[in-house]
Amino acid sequence: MPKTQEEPKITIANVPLHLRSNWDSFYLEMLMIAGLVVYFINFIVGKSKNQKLANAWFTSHKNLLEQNFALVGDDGKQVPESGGLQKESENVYTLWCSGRTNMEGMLVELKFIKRQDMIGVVSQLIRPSSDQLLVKVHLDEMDSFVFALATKKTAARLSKEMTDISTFCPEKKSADKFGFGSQYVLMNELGEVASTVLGDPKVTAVLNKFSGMVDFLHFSDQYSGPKQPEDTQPTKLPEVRRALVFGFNFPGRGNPSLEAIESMRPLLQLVFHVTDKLRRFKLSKEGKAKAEKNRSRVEEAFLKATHAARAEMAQAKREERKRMEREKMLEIDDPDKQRKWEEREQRRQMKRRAPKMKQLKTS
Amino acid sequence: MYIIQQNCMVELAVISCVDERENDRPGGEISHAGDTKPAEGELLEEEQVKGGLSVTMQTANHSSDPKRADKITRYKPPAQGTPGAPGEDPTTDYMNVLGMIFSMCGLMMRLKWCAWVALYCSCISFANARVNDDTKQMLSSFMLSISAVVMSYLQNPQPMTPPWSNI
Repeated sequence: MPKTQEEPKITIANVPLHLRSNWDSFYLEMLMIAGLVVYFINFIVGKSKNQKLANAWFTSHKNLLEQNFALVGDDGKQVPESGGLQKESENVYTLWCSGRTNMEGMLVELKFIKRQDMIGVVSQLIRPSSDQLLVKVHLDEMDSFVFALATKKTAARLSKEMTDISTFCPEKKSADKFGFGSQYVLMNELGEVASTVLGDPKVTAVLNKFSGMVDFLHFSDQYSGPKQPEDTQPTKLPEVRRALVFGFNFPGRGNPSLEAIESMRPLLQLVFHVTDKLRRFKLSKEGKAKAEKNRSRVEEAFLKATHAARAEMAQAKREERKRMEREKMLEIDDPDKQRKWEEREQRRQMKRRAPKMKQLKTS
Repeated sequence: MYIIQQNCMVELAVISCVDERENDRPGGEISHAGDTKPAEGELLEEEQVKGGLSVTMQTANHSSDPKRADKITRYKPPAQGTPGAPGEDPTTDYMNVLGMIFSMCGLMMRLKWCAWVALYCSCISFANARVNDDTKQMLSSFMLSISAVVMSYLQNPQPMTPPWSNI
């Protein structure tokens, strides 16, 4: 069959891609925008949930706090006006209480799960954690000792992070002796402190009753918080204070009910009880001597370790002083004085360069 | 036998202390049936009588009320950046830096997905920020990432090609 007709030529107009009304091709962008919207909805929901939990804790403990403290909540103003929780971030709230016998103040820190952040919510699904309540009591006076009782996981973290625990009592002992099973680990500088704290029937009763909720107890006269980053070489010992730190978990494994928060009151009572007890507690003579020895040993080791750094600093200071002196001399117009100063300086340098040796008298 | 009995009492006391919250004594004393020790006030009285001191009613009252209005110390917030300070969270800073890097990648190399990731980083940084953090920094990070998205779509209004499609 002969070819009678040529095939028609098809020309496709070159329409720019974005002018085609094909929104389907933008599916990735839609996904991104949807993700952002979900993130913000989660932000608002999580934020309000954390706020609700914080308020629930405060209202259920307000009475007890007001019975114990003259000042509950410090907003940082000249005259504290609105007592109550201070928001540090969307998941951290603090409350400063002061004006109580035996202590300078108490800082309550409510550390909630990052419900406002979607990443926090997802990581909560993978590795569940619970909301935390940290109570830091600043004591006005206490005997010298470092003591910590913590659950296994927290103990590892504390002994790694906390300066005082890692220097004074790095070894972990089992708390079996006091009847806590293998759940808790004891890090203790002086044996008598452990028997005083854990031998107290009220403490053991609360620890047994609320075993899942007490995360750690950390009592120390050398409290200086977590270690500084390694790269900064400190030239003086960190500032220490006498502090009792209590770490509690909120009940309900990440989803505490309001009734459960109400049931946390005995934990705060435990804080007051232990504070009053340790404030009165006096170490025995041997214990005191041992504690003193430990402290002076640590200080000595620190001074030895930082000797080079401190010598360097002193040298830099000396050189700076010399430079200043030279500049001052150069500014003075009196040539006679300048000459004299130069001569004196040269003599001093010669003296330093000359090898030091004893002169032996030869008879 | 005695120990078991005492333990039971301790347990009971704690339960009763949870139940009868209204009757809590100030000072955080947990009522305790098995405890035979005298209360703090009584102890004080006893010691002082032994020492031959006169006990006034005022001191006895004072010891039961732990409040001290004259001992108020104000809160000194720790310096920002100290580890362990309340609310201190390095996530914000990390996300800020990451956001900056991704926006730069998005702007310079015209990678759309980088610009989008930068926008997400700014959002995470915003969600984790402290209340009294610098808002200017947050705003500039947002502006940079949004401008990266807008610029990349103005230059090339085609739909995004995911990074894995080129491989």
